[in-house]
Amino acid sequence: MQELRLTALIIVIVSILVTLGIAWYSRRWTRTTAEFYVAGGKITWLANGIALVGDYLSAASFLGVAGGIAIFGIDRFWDALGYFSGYLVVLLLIAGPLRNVGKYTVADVLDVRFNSKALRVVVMIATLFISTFYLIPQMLGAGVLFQTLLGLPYNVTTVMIGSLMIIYVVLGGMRGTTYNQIIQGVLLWSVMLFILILVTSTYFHGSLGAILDAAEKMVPPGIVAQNQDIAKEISKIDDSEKAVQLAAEKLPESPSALTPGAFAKDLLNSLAFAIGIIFGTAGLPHILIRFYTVPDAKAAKKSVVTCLVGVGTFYIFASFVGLSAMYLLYPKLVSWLTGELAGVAMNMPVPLVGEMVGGEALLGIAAAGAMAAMLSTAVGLLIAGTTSVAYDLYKNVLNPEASERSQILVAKITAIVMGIIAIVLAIVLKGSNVSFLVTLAFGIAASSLFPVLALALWWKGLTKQGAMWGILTGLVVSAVFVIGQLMDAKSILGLPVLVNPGLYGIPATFLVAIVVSMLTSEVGAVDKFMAIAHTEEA
Amino acid sequence: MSAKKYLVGVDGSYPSLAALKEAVQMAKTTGASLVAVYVEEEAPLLLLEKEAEHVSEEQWYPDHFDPLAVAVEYGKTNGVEVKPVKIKGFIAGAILKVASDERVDMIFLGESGRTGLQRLALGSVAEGVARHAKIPVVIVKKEAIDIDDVLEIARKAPKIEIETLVPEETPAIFRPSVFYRRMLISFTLMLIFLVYYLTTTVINSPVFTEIASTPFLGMPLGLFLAFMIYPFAWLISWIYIRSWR
Repeated sequence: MQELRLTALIIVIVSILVTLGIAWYSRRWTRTTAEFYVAGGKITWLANGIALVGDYLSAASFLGVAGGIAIFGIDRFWDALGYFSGYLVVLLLIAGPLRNVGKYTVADVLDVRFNSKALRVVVMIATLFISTFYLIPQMLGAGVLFQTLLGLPYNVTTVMIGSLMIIYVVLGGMRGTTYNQIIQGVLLWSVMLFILILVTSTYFHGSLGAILDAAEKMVPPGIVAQNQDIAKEISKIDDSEKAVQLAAEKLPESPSALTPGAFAKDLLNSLAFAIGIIFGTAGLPHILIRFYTVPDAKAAKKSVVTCLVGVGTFYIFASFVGLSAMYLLYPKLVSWLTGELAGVAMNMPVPLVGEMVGGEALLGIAAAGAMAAMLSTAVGLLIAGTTSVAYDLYKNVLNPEASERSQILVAKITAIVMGIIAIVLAIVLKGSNVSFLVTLAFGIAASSLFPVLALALWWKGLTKQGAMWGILTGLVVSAVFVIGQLMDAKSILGLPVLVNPGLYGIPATFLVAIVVSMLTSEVGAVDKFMAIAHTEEA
Repeated sequence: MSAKKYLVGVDGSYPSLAALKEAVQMAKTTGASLVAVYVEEEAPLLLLEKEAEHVSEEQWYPDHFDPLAVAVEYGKTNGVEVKPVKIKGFIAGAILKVASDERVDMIFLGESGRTGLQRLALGSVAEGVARHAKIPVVIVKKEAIDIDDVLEIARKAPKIEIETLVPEETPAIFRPSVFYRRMLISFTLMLIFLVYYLTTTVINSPVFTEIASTPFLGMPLGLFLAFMIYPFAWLISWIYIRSWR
C-alpha cells in the first residue's frame, strides 16, 4: 500500500495544473466575453445544469459515497439518496423564488427582505461554520488521496495539500467558471460510469445482478472490523471469495451488504440520517451561486432538473461501484479498517477499484477527477466563507469605511485561519469517511439556514428576530450534537446522540423561528420581497 | 428626417477615450448628438475574485476619473451635445439595450488591442457588440488616435451625479393567486415525495429488516424501493416543470 504510484501521480499533478490554468484564463474570458454578456448570461439551462453537476459532486460524492457503501452496504445508500433528493428540495422550494430575487447567498436574500446588519452577522456565523466544517472532508480526502499516491504518511500529505489549497486562494485563486464545472461534471460522471462498466465486465460477467448477488452474501467490512479476532483472520486471506465466505460463516447473525443495520443502529438513527441530508443542500452557502448564470427562473428550474438526472445517474453508478469494491477489496478493507489505513479503506475504494480494472492510469484519472472535485469545492468554500467575513462582518459592522484593500486583507487572513482549522480537524478526524463528514455539514446547514431561507421565501409572517433566533438555535443544537457524535457521546441532556443532528435541529429551528416571529412584528419589506420572489413570468 | 444620434461606450480606459474622441469629432461634422454609456458591470464575482480582476486590468486605465464627466466635458468643448447614461448590467448586452432604447444610428467603441493569448482569454466587448448590433459599429483602436487633448480634459472634468439605470425594473406586484397556486404545487409535490422517501427510510431501518429483505425483482425490497427514489424524483420534477406557470 505504502508505495509511490508515479504514473498516477503525474496524471493527477498535470490535471491539477490544467484545471488551475483553465480557471485562471476562462474566468477572465467569461467576464468580458461578449457572447456571454449579450444575453445577460447566455449560458443555456443545459450547460448550466451540467455545471451544477460539476459543482455538486465533491469529494463526498466521488470518493465518499462508494467508500461508505463498500464499508457498510445499503445503510450508506442514504448519503447518495439524500444528496440527490436534496436537489429536489432546492427545485421545489428554493430555486424559482431565489432566481427571481436575484441574490445567491442566503445573507443577500435575507438582506433584501429584512435589511438588517445583525441578521447578516448571524448568517455570516452560520455560513462560516458550515463552510469550515465542509472544508474538513475536502482536506481529509485530499490527504488520503496523496497518501495513496505518494506513499507518505497521512498527516504529511494533508498538511501539504491543504496548505497548497490555502495558498492558491490567498494568491487570488478563483472559483471555477461555468466552463470549468461543465468539464468537471462530465469528467466525474464518465469516469464513474467507465469504472462501473469495466468492473462489471471484468469481474461480474457484465451483469449488475451479479454484483447484487455477491453483495447479498457479504458481511459489511465495517461489521467484521469490530471483531478483532475475526478481522485478523480474514486479513490474512488473499482471495476475496474465500474471505467473504469465512466472514459469513463466522458472523451468521450479521446483516448483509443489502440489509439494514450495519451503520444506523435503529429507526431514530435511520430517520436522522435521511432527514438531515435531504434538507441540507438548500442551506449550503456555496451551491446556489451558480443560478446567477441562467437567464430566468424557468431556466434555473430546467437546470436543476438536468442536474437531478446527472447527479442521480452518477449516484446509481457509484452505488454499484461501492458494492463491487466491497467484494473485490474485501480482505484489504477489513485489514485497513483495523489499522492505520482506515482513511484509505473509507475513501479510496473508487480509485483502487479503478486501478484493479484499468491499471495505474485509471487510478490516476480517477484520482485526478477526485482531486479536481475537492479543489473546486474547497476553493468555493474558502471564497464564500472569507467573502462573508470580509463583507458581512468587517465592512458592514466593524469598519464601514473599510477600503477594498483592507477587506481583501481580512478575507485572506480568514482564508488562512479557516484553512488551518480545517487541516487540524482533518488530522484529528483521520480515518473518517469523507461523505459521513459531509452529511454532518449538511445536517448543520439543514438545521440552521434551510428553515429560515424556506420561511423567508414562503411565509410573510417571518420576522427579523424570528430569522435570527431560528438560525442561532439551529446552529447551537446541531453544533452540540455534531461534537457529541464526533466524540462518541451516547446522549446529551437525555437525548440520544444520533448519526445526524438534523432530526433535532430542523424542528427546533422551525419552532423557534415561528414562535419568535409570532411574538415580534418586524416582517421586513415583505410585500415587495414576495412580489419579486413570486413574480409571474411572461 | 431627424438629426443623427451616435452612441459611445466609455469606461475610462485608454481605448474608450479614443472612441470618445472619434465619436465627438464625427458628431461635430455631421451635426449629430451623442449618447455616452457607462456600464456598471454585473458579474457573479466574489471579493477575492474582483481584486484579481482589477490587478490584471489595471494597465488599461489611466488615473481614476469619471468617464461620463469626461464625455460631457469633451462634448462641450467641441460643441456637441452629450447625454450621459449610466446603466447596470452585462457589458455588451447593456450597450445594445441603450442603443435600441435611444434609437441611435451608430455605435463607437474602443478596441483594447489585446493580442495573442490575452485576446483569446479576455475576448472583446467591441466584437460582441459588433456581432449582435443591427446598426454600424465603429471600432476605434487606441494607436490610431492621439488622445492627449481628451486626457487633458479628463484630468479637469468635474464629477457628475446621475442615476444608474437598472434595466427592466418593472415594479413587481404581489399576486396572491400566483403565490398560492405555486405554494400549493410546490408543497404538495414536496409532501408526496417526502412520504415516499421517509417510508423507504423506515422500511430500510433495522425495525423492518424482514420486510426490507423480502426478495423483489431479484433484489431485496428495501434496495428496490431505495433505487426507485431516483426515477420517482425525476417524475416529480417533470410534473413540477410542466405545471409551472
